[in-house]
Amino acid sequence: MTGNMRDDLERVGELFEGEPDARPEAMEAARSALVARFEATEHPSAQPVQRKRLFARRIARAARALKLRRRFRLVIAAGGCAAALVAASIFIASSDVATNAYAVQPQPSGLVIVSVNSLEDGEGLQRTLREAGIPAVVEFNDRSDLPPLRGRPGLPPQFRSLLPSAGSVGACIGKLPGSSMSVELPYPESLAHLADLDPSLQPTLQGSTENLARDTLKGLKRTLSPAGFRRILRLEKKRKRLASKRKLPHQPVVPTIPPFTFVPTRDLVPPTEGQGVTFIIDPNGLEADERLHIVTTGDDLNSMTVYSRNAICIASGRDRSE
Amino acid sequence: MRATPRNRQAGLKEERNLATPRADNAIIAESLVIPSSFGEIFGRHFGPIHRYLQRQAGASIADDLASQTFLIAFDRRSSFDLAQTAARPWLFGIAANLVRGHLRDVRRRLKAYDKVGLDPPHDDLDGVEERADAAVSRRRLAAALAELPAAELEALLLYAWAELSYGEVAEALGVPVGTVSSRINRVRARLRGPLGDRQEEIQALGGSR
Repeated sequence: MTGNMRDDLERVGELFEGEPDARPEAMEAARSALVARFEATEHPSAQPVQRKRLFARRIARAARALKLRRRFRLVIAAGGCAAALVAASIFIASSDVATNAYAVQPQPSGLVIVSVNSLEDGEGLQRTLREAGIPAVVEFNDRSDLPPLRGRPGLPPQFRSLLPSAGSVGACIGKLPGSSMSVELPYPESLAHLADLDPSLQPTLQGSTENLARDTLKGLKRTLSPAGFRRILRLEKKRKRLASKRKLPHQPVVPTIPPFTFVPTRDLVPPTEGQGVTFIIDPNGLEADERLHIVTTGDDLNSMTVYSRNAICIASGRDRSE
Repeated sequence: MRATPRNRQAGLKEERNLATPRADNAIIAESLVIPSSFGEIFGRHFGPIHRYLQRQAGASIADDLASQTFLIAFDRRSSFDLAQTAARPWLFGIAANLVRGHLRDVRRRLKAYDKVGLDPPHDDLDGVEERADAAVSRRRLAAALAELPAAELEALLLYAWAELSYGEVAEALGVPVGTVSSRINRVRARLRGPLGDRQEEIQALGGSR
């Protein structure tokens, strides 16, 4: 009987099996439509001037070997392992460095992916990032002489009041180009938390619950009051409860903020099994003398915070593997 | 935990190049910062998505829907769950959502299978008789599929045509895995009727499938 049932479904697979592949013209038309959409996307990296800067940066990296000093901007990005892209053969990109503790992976696009898997080798990470041209300051909490995060040098004062207490969930705050402070957060719990800390913040939220994600698709962005945050928190709790009953995966929303993007996953490029925090940095968002601080406030990865003069990403608090 | 010169050295020893192809999630993550990176997702998945849509709705509708699938996917890339390494279920979910609007065309094509359907390769069938039997049975099958409820048909075609696993179908449709397996089991039960008779006939004739 089982054999027959399997046969039925195999037969379904035979239906229309010999259909020809997509016509090349159809594929080209689809590709052009997509490329037009890329160009229409309002993101600094998509604009021609920025592209030129990216290209200039790659040249500058090569020129550095010849002691030619040249101003250039840095790019870090999310991603995975080095691709066998055509671009890779054209552009000069520094090679990946991956140890058990961290991975720094420049992408063909010029972006660099940073994954931190343990807090064992902060100095090595700092050195590797600097070798990749990123003015990083790595301060993991293995040094007892460091002050608490609030007192760290380089932490912009406007962020101090926003640091979450232990046990809260990650947050990202960024100053978007040409605008006042805005916030995009991966986890609604931190929205509520931030609202409590600073009700005047009125951040812009992009897609934190299913409803909000849907709004974002329609091109809308919601500006939320603290009461709105709490409502989202309740909705999200409800959604999670439903999701756990139906065993649906929790889908975090990735905030994209220059100069870096925090990627809330541990599975992207872990050199070792287990926990890892991955983030993307867009060096186009870093100003010439701006430093990138990668710090922890506790003894685990969940307490990691990445900040610069204009932006901060906090990975702290809860285990996000749920 | 302190970073001593010794464990730094150990770290350096373990330096290695990761030269495997990038996973979809890495590309999508990068496309959040550099939109054009998404082109690689298009290159990898356009063929299968188009084929899936074409088998359902025909070439001309598929051209349009496949293009739309990738535009929508691009617009929604920030909601892609980066913990997933493969974008296939996500993309097929978008495609399935689009083709849902063309259910009438899909059913019409299934009913007219004889006119529009192409025979699969014949290598695995020996005799002319068996081939004819198979053709008859496929026609009946297509007619039976045309009568299926939309949700069951959708799950079945994602499983049988897009070749997704139950888990991936569940991900694509945003339903629990249990729902997918019960839908497909219901389809099996429904198909057993019209096809079961035929298989008994085939077996009676000596076909040992």
